[in-house]
Amino acid sequence: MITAVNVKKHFGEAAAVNDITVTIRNREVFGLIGTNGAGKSTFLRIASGVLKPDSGAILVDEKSVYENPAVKADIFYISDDQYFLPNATPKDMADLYSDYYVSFDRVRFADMLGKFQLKADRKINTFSKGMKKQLSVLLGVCANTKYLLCDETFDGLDPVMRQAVKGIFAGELAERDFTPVIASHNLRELEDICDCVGILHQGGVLMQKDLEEMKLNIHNIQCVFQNTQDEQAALGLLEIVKAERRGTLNIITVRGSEKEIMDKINSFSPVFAEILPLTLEEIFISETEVVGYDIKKLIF
Amino acid sequence: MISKNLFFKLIRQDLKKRIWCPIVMFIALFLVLEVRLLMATEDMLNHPDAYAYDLVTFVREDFFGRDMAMLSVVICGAAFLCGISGFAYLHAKTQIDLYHSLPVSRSQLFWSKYISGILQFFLPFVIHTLICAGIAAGRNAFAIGTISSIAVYIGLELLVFLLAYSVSVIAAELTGNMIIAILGTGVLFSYSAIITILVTILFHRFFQSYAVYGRRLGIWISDGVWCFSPLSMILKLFSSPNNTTMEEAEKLYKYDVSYVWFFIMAVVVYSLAAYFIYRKRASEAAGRAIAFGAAEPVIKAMVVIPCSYYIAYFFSVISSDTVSDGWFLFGLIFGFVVLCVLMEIIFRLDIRGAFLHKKQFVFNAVCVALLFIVLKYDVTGYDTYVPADAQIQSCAVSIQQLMPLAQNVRVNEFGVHYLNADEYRMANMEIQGNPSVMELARKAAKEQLAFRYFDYYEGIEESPEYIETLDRQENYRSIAFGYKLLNGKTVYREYYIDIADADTIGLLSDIFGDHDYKIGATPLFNDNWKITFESVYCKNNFQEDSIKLMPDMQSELIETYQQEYMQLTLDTVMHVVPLGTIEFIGEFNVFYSGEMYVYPQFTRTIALLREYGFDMEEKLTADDGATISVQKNNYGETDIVSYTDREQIQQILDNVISEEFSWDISSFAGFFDKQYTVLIHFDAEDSRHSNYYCFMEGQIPDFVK
Repeated sequence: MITAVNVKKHFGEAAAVNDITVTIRNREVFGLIGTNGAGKSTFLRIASGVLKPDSGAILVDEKSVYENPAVKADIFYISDDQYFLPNATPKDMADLYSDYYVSFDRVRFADMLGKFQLKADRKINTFSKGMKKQLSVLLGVCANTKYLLCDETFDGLDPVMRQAVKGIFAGELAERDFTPVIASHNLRELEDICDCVGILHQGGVLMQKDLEEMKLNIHNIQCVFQNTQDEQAALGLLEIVKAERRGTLNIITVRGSEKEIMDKINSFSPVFAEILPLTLEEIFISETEVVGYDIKKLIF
Repeated sequence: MISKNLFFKLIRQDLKKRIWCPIVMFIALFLVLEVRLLMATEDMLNHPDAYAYDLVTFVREDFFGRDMAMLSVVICGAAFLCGISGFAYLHAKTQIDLYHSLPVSRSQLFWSKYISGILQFFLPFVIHTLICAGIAAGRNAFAIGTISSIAVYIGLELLVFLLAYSVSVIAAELTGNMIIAILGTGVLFSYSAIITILVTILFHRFFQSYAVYGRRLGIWISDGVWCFSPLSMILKLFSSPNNTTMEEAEKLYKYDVSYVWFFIMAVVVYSLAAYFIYRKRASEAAGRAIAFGAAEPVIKAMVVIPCSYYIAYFFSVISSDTVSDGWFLFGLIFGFVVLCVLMEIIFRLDIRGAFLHKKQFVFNAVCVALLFIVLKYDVTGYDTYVPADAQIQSCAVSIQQLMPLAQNVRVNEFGVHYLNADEYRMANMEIQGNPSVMELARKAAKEQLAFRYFDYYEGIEESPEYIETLDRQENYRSIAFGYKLLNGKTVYREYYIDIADADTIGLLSDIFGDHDYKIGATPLFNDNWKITFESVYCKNNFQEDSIKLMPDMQSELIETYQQEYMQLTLDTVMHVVPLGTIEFIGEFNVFYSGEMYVYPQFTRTIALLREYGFDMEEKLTADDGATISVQKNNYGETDIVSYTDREQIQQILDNVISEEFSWDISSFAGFFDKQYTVLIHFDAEDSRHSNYYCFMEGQIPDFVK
């Protein structure tokens, strides 16, 4: 289990990570979602022992990770721009990592390279961005570490490869003690793989929940009321995250269970009321809007 | 779990990552070792007569000995390459993410990279050195003694490498950008040498009494200056203080054994500093100019303040009036502002940051201004400082142009050691218990303030101020003092004294008459400089001859001369015309003693020389067939008159003195009249057999006037 307690990290005067407290349970896929500059990469760099937090602590299996090679032996970190040795081939990188990670599975690595149609003796600097990402994941998986920290790893992977990687993760989760932590902007990709997500904004954690629980507790509603009085009364009863009005149509994002919300709306006999499924992306946008991060302001 | 062999695996990985580095080392060392050795030995084999030493000596003493200093340049380049390339990953975020996320402690990571860098130089170096030894053996140029030379050679060059390497690593760690790291290496590598030169420049400019002795390699390295940068330390390692003992002089082209331990300590300190800085360095520093924000104002001040003064000096030198402060101040202000802006741009890596940190700007400006005020107005009283008598252990005095000193001494088959009179005297003279020394020092320091320097420019000769000052300072002579203090320090000052002043001459006479002064004034009287002379070259007013010296003759002549020289007074030097000079000459005709004057009072010396076959008192007569022409020196106009009348010739011969005698002592002896130049041809048929003379003061024959 990875536990972050009040972790802070400043770069100069800018707070990259500001009081993050989060718990990542073993054997579940943790998604780290965040706006640009939210501190996802910094958090992963702290969690992998690259950076030292200014205050607070990150504990991996209850041990501090910074300058602790024994703990770091259980962590493989794939940065958003993974470094490969100059003129190195996949085989060279496997040699490098096998020096550090004693459980590195060379046989499996060679096998997986074949499956992903990557040549073991081809120079990595001739690889495309996506191929490098694939290679990073394969190296990470074959290192056989308990924790795999992936920073924007799915960016650049084509849909087929994304599914293949997801398949590998699923296989690993089923077979051994494996906990991937995936930071990404690609919320749709996390939606079908993550068990739990943490939403970061401006260095802090807005929320951390199981994905299903999160989906059950926030809903998108389209509704039309018979008159303004009903409308105001109904909306007043709801815990609205976001509200939009198009003519008489209200489009609202509301916290609470589906039944609870619909009961409250139906008590005013609306002309029309319908609950819509929320994607992770919509949840993310809604949650961040609450704290003043309005995606529309950025787009329009 | 971490493999037991992880450390070696890390070294192997590092080697794989920058395999180009040992390859470059291998090629460079091949060129500077094997190729150079082959070229040199080939030349020696083809032209054996051109060398004063044989091939075995060359390999042992020169190739694996004195050439270490020159090879150090290559070694420093190698150290820079290994240091920067090994730790350049600290400047790249992607590499930092990889290496610092791996399950290995930073200590292991540091030492593996550090040692890997050393091995990438050391292994090729040892291999090439051994190949060179093989080449030497193949050419019958290898002896048992060569083995120890090679061991010392490898050891010292490794030390040089380690020092330069550690500094390069520190520069890489302190910075977050490759360009800044390269600049930083340059600064760290040479900082103390740069400061030493600046101190010399500024003190020369602002303090009239500034003098520095005990220096090595010209003005570069002084024993009195704190050497902490590799450049200073390497120069110091491969040099020795001038003019102390023959033993020291012999090290001129070798290395300073006493400094090796200090060097080793410096290597350890710099290596540990590199390690601790690495441990303290934050990973997020990659990409920044400076890794440690707190160091930024310190680095800025350390660079901006001295460099501003360098720029100021540059402007004053290129201006027409180097003495005035106008252009110096302009350069100082201009340089300071430009450097401040430049440093901010470098630190921000952005031109928009040029005028940030106004407080630092103001602080540095105040430091620069204060330093200028301290120097300009001698706030510390540098020029007037004379230590109290109670602080003095002994004194050294060098009165220039009063006593000759050797020019060169051949210390061994490889080189000639240049002797500087002041340097020698400051190192060897220890006058104690003579109150006149400190009295003259105080008087000189006081009068120093009245001395005026002029910067030459075209037409200065017509300046009334210049003419007046020149007349007033006509009798000013240079004198250097070295005060050895009880606290172990030695303070040097150089003054101009007025020898027209009776009090000054009185004090000077006391000093000149001091036994310790004379003993310490020349290595001829110094037992440490035991040199076997081959001959003594004797000159009197009209003839010269070389006498071959046997060892007993040498000691007898030097002892006799020394005894009589000890009785010599300043009054005699100033008023008695010498009979001639003797000069002791060493092997290969390398002069040693300088021309020592023989006065009429030196009767025993004169008798001894006569015994050896040279008559110091022999004079030329008109009957010897010399022809004489006299040239009146009339401001560029030549007016030459030849004399054939025997009586006139005899009168001239009775009243002239060889010009050569006047070269050393004319500043003190006033019996030369330079208005006329007398050319005497000793052999009418051979125009080469001639010499120049001048008349003695007040003894110009009427027919010449």
